[in-house]
Amino acid sequence: MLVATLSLAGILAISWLALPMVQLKRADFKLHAGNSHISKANSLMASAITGEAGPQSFTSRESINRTAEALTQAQPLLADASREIDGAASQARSAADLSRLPPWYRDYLMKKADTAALRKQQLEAITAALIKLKKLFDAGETVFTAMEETDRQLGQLQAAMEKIQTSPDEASALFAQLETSLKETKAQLDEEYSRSGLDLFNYLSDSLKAGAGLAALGGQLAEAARAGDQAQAQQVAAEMESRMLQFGTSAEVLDDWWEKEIIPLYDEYEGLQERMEALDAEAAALYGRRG
Amino acid sequence: MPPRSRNATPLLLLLLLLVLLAAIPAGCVAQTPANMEWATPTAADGPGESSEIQQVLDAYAQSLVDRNKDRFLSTLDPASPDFYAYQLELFSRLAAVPFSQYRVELNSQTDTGPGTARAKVSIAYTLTESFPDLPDAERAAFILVKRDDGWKLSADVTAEAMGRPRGAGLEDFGPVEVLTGKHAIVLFHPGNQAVAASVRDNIDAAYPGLAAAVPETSLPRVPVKVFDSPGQINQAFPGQWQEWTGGAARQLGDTEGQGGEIIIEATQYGAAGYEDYNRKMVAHELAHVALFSRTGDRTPSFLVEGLADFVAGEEPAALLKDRLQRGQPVSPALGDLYQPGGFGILLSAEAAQLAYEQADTAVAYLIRHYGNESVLSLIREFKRRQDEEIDQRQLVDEVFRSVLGAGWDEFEQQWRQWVVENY
Repeated sequence: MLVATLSLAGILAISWLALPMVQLKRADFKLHAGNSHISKANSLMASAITGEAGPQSFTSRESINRTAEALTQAQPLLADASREIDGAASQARSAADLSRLPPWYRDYLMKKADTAALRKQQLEAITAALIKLKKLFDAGETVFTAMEETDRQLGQLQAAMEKIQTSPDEASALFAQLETSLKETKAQLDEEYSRSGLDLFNYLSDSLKAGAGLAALGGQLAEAARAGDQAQAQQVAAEMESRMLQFGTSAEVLDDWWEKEIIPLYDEYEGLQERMEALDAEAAALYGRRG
Repeated sequence: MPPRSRNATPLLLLLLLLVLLAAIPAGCVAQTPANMEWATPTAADGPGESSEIQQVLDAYAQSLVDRNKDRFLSTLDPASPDFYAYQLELFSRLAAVPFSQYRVELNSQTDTGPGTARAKVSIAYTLTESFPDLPDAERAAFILVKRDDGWKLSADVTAEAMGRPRGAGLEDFGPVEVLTGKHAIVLFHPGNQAVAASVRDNIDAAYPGLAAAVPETSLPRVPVKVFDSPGQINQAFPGQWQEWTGGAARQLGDTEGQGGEIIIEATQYGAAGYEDYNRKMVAHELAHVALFSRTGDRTPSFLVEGLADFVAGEEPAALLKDRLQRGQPVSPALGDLYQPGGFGILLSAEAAQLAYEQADTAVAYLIRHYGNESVLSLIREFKRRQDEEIDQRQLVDEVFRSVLGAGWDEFEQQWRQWVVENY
């Protein structure tokens, strides 16, 4: 009995003394597994995020369709990456929970867990951007056609304005024609917006509404020029000037949409990247104490 | 002692087994993991993919800079003889022009049939020792065809694709020659050498006065384009030419590096009796070029025109004084001319004269009563506040009040009185 008790006490004592080494090794195992999850996540994200989806992709139907296809393929890859990151975070946290780890190693593992949490947020931001971009590029052909038509009508508006003083009657007729065609194109864009829910159609529609307003004012300006009414001409010109800012080229409208809908998500991505890189640097400094 | 030795061995073996069982799952035999970064790896910037059509456009543009005729011709479709011949002629006409950059950038591309595409492009260039940044681009559209050795430019379809034709360049009317001065680079057609030389000399002579009136002015050689006639200018800049002026300044972009250029109409410039007018007109337009980067979308046009005339030399304001003395309407009114585009819709020579007399006298009044710096201070403040979403009338009142201590109505009243008393 005494021998059994002493043996048991000995076993427990030896186990207690061996526990830090055992937990260290256990933590190493989990860290190794976490690193493996991160490697897989890196590989998946590199395949998914190619940088192709940008306003520069809106230069031809071919590049639009190519980008739409890339975005479709990216979605499942990002979902898989998210699961890998969850796995890495879980391994890091469970390792950090081991009670007899050296303090530096616990801190190190917590930084890794925090980094994984930030990566998850980053993935959420990029996924949100991808959803918006997929909607844009799925409607890409329609958007492209609308942009080409808008550009043509903007050119016609400029041509009409150039004729106001030299050929006011011709300018007046052009403005009337343009006001009608801009309203027709706007109606088509409104229909596309109702159908697809893509708010870029709304942006384009607003721009064309401003354009139709400018065309109407252009008609008034041409009339004032024809009548030699300087005061009326100045008044209408001033009104046109204040509205001019609302009517942009289709590329400007797309850039505007990009600025409001996509860039904030990219900014969030970049902000999280900076924080992660800082955590990695801190973790590396801690790891240097491993010796 | 057989019982004790029989009990100790199994216990020791059990202890060893327990230690081993604990150690193995802990990876006792595994390697220590290295530190690995868990942040998302930053993708290296690879070489950008340039479309085949962009490559053709790049070759076209660069060959104009390098004067490489063979390379230029390689971008054109010989199966479009009219377009080919015209482009070859343009290349020849531009032989003397010192481009430092020439950029033709693809904006969009639409397939128009098997092996053909319509490309919408932006075109911009800079001249050596002139403003360094590419100006706001001109837009155009071309048809390209795919041949065995690549895409070739085949036709200019700007009017059809963009809704309006391209503005003409000097090269569309004949060979372009070049004269340079200390502060100007003048492009002109053969036959206008004397006009070009006079413009160059007038710009060089006006520069010191400009630098004195607008401190910290530092301009590279200002580009000047001398067109033969109003007809040519109307093709280059449709609807923008006011024939009585003989010259105009064009802003090439919002930045200081983009600057501006001066347009001269040679027929009027070269006519007898215009020497004094030309000297002042050139100084006026040069002042505009210097002011472009300092002014914004909300700057009252009368401040800019008035300051440019101040640099050129003060003029009488007889028509304005007469109207004010008689209490007759003045149209455009100064209140119309605080709109940024106020000088853009002058329907008659009389309207133009009244507009400039108002601008000149208003600026003269500001300088005399509020000091040399007052006009530039106003211009600076309008630029600073250009993005505010308030109407122009309110903005003008607030800026005048903050810079001068007097709102718009008070200023206008004082100015009218001053004109009647002093002109």
